[in-house]
Amino acid sequence: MTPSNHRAEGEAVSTASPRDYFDLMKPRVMTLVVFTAFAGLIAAPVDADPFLAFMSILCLAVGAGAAGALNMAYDADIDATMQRTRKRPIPRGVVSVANAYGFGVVAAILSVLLMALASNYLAAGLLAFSIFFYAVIYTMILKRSTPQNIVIGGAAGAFPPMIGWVAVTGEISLDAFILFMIIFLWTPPHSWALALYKSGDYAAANVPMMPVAKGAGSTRLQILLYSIVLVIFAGAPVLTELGGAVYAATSLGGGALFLLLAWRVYRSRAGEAGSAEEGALYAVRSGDKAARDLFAYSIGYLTVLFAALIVEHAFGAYVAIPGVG
Amino acid sequence: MTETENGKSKKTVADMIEQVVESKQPDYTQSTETVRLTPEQEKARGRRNVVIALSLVGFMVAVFAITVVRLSQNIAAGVAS
Repeated sequence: MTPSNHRAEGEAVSTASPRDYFDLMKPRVMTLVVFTAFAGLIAAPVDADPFLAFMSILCLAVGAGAAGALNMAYDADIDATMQRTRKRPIPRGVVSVANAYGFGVVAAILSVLLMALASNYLAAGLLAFSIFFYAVIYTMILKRSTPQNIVIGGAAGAFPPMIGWVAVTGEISLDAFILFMIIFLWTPPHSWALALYKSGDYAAANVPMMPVAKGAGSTRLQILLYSIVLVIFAGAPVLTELGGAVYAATSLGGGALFLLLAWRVYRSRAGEAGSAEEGALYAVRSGDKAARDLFAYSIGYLTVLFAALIVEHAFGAYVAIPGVG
Repeated sequence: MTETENGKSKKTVADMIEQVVESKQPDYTQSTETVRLTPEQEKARGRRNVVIALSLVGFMVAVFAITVVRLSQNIAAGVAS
């Protein structure tokens, strides 16, 4: 064989590292998924086997990562045009679309199978449905077709605490549904705050996020309205006695600050100057600062709400509120 | 990719298939050519292979361990009743 028979320096052979595949799984999102699922699992009124509980959380993390990989495979074209996402593995050219699809499908199947083995069929079914919902309903259907994309699609991100709960109890209770609803209602103000100061990015990619489709003013009003509903609904665990005094105090204080920041966004001119120039997640024009602050705080708010449940149920800090229940 | 009335882009199933086919690596089985990897590519492939192997072993260990734990639980439940 002559040297000419060789493909020049192994063209089209990937140089992707395992780290690139890990990045396909959206590790930041996975962290929140693991945390909220853990909260649901801990808050459930059942003593779970620690090993099986750990395996259930691991399956959820891999399942969420699989959905993230499928999302990146399908959205490779728009990721390449957006400043915030153009450094992802597929737009950078280190992972091919086909490999990302393959990786996502295999990881999804294995995570669902293992979940069925480690917990129960209902939890595995919910995990399979949440992956399908995120990858197909949200990514392939809603995202490019309606400004309500993240309102409906937010359900995919709301499943983890419910799945964590179901993994140890085997059933969907009112409390599991409340945990689902808290994240479902949290998603619009969280996502739209980001979309406000990255609206130019979404417009360039033809993604009809609310600020692009309905304008910044309408989005700011909707953020405020969703925030009011969220903060009120976040008190529901206290009424069902899922949350005690620690949760009530956290929900009250955290909710008040959430409303204050949402009000500041409403009163600001956020989203009217287009996107920040640079791609960093928190890079922002001065007029958009209120939206950036709400986006950053919303992550902290959800974290402390679920952390309060973990503290109460895992560390014996639950103090019932007199007159409730 | 099709343009809808309001100017939004929408992917069809045909677009998706085309996207996958286009990104597929060349079919070397139909050729006498071989691939000469660069040192960087060889190193990357080696790292990927190690992680795939570890993942498979991890999956097998997980299935085995879960089976043992669940069997133990079921036996204990059977003895108790």
